[in-house]
Amino acid sequence: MVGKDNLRAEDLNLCFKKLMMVAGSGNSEKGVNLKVGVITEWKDIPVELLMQILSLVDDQTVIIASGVCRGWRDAIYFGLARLSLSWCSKNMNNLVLSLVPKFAKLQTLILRQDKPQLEDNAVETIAKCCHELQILDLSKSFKLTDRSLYELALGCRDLTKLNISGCSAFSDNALAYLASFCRKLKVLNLCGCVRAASDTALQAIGQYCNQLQSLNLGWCDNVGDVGVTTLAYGCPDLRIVDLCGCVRITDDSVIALATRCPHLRSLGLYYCKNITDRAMYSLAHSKVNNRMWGTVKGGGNDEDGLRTLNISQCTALTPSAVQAVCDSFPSLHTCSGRHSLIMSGCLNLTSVHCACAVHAHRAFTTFPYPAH
Amino acid sequence: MPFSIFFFFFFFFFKMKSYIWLQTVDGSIQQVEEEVAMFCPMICQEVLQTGMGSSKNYAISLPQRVNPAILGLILDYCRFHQVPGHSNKERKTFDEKFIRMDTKKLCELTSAADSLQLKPLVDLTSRALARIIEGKTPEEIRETFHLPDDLTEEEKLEPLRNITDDPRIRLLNRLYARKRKELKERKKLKDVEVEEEPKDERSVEDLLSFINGADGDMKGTRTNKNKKKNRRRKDHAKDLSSKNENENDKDLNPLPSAYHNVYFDNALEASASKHSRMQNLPAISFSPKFEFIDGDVDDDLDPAMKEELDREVEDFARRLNSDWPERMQILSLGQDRRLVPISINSNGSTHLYTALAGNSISKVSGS
Repeated sequence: MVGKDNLRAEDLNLCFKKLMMVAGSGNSEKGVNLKVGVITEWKDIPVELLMQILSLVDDQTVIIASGVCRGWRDAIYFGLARLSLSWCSKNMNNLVLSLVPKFAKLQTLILRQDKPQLEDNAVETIAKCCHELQILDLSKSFKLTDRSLYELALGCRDLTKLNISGCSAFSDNALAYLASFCRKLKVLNLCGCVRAASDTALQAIGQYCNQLQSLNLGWCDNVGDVGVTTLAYGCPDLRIVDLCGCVRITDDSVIALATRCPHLRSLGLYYCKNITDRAMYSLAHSKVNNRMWGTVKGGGNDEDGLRTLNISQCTALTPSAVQAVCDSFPSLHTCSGRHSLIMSGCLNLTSVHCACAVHAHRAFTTFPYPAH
Repeated sequence: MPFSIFFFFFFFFFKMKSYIWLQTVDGSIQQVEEEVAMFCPMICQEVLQTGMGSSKNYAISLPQRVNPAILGLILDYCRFHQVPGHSNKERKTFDEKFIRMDTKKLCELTSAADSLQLKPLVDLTSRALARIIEGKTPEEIRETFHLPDDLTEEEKLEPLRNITDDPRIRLLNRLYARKRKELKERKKLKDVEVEEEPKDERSVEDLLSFINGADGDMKGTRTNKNKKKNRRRKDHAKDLSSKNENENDKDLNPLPSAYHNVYFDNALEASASKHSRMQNLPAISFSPKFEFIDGDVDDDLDPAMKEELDREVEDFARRLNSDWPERMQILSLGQDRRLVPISINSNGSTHLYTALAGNSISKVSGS
């Protein structure tokens, strides 16, 4: 909840001294006293330590703790770096409106909802008050409109992780606008944002968010090759790309990702029916290119390359092409327990096996009757 | 011969076993086995960097938060954990027994361990304190940790208002509704005073016939009454529609009605005419957006319960408003915007000083 490294000691001490002066005036016997730099009330717990203790309790308790005394309230309001209100099933919007403005140093805010509660005015408050915000989860906020994205773009420019999955009301223009301001984005979840995730939006993301490492475009069926290709060219640091259900994309998208994103670790192509062997051979070939490039740079790590590939329901693929990918990336496994090459629904790919499965099979056939 | 060998080994063992001298904040000096003391990163760092602790004259001064009693506990912890032979189960059992102490001692121990950079012990005691805090109400936490009860009723209730169904919140909202009602009535009375008394333009004959009470006239008066009733109903409907129109004005006022008093209202009215957005008023915890509507909240209650609730509200109001100017000042402290108390001049006019910190003070007066 509260990362200790996020707290600047001098800031906290300054805040603490300030609240001591406040507490000292008026009712000194009740207040928190300072004797030669030693905190004699509060059971001798300094602010940083209080925050560490509160990092071990649930978020609801943290909010309750802010109503204990002035010292705790100010410490929490000033020191809290992470807050989750996902437990709130009824009044999340009101809670955001009343609480968020008080947490000056908030860096992570989780507002995942089971039933939509958040409205634009809450996001507006977040954008106006939490300028240091880096991680924001607004998933399943069906009530939010473009106004929220415009406000976030202007108020929270340091965002590195944004989850707006299921926010179906957002448009691609608003997302493009956000991308042009929040250029530090590294993780973006657009799963189910059918209107927002279009080629226009992806082009803007590719142009402005060059540090992007993870992008989820699950079930965004407006996404096409133009958007994904631009993205691959603009964001060479991409590691995780989920294109599940993006039915319009073809081999060109996969080829662009394979050639332009050397750090690609995970690729989801579930239900991408237009993907053919050409894309698979491109992925297999990219490993060779990346290995050569790695030796030139002095890197060359065996762990580089794909670790997860989902090609379920990609019925146009043949076993030889998929086997080529499997052979190129030792981290891809078909064996049970380490399932990272997912091929469910592709009945013609049952012959594809990872290296360890082949070794096990060979070992078994070589010594069918081991000595007892 | 065997005795001399035993003596030699005894002497050799104690000579070889090195110690570190530690001085606590009260000045007392303690001799501690090196391997035990070096388990604390802070002491280890001090020994390696400065070479202190080798003798009584060069004892390592421990941080202020480490008193002799707590140091004893910390050394017990270090003695057990620096021995490599213990299993995880043994360590876990020791830790569980070790933290069975009163909250005061646990807090002191956490603080001392933190100042000695003894992370495993800090984690252990922090977890124990977190378990104590979890699931408690603010009152229980205050009691457990002997913390000052220095928040106003509103400040105490605000964190709870959207996360728990606290009956006091209902009480507070009811109080606010009543306060607003009173203010409205006061304003109406003011308006009535300002209005001129309506002149009776009826003729003497009409009045006489009304007094004599002829049948037809009676009917006439009845219909008149009904007309008046209808008019009243229409007016009420108009009021309701105008209420919606005036909601924006209500939202402009950032102060909960529990804080209002006559002087303050005057000052607010004056400032409202000066600054349409009321930029220079402090942001107070309860925003009007979430308050209950003005109407009677508990009309459905039976009279006895209503009476009891009214008594509670009165008591609550007394506590809430006993020292509202000081509370206002307390509330505004620590925020960017600061409210300086209202001063009443000899001529009866009030001055409300409101200012943004560091900016020039704007003076709003209302007679």
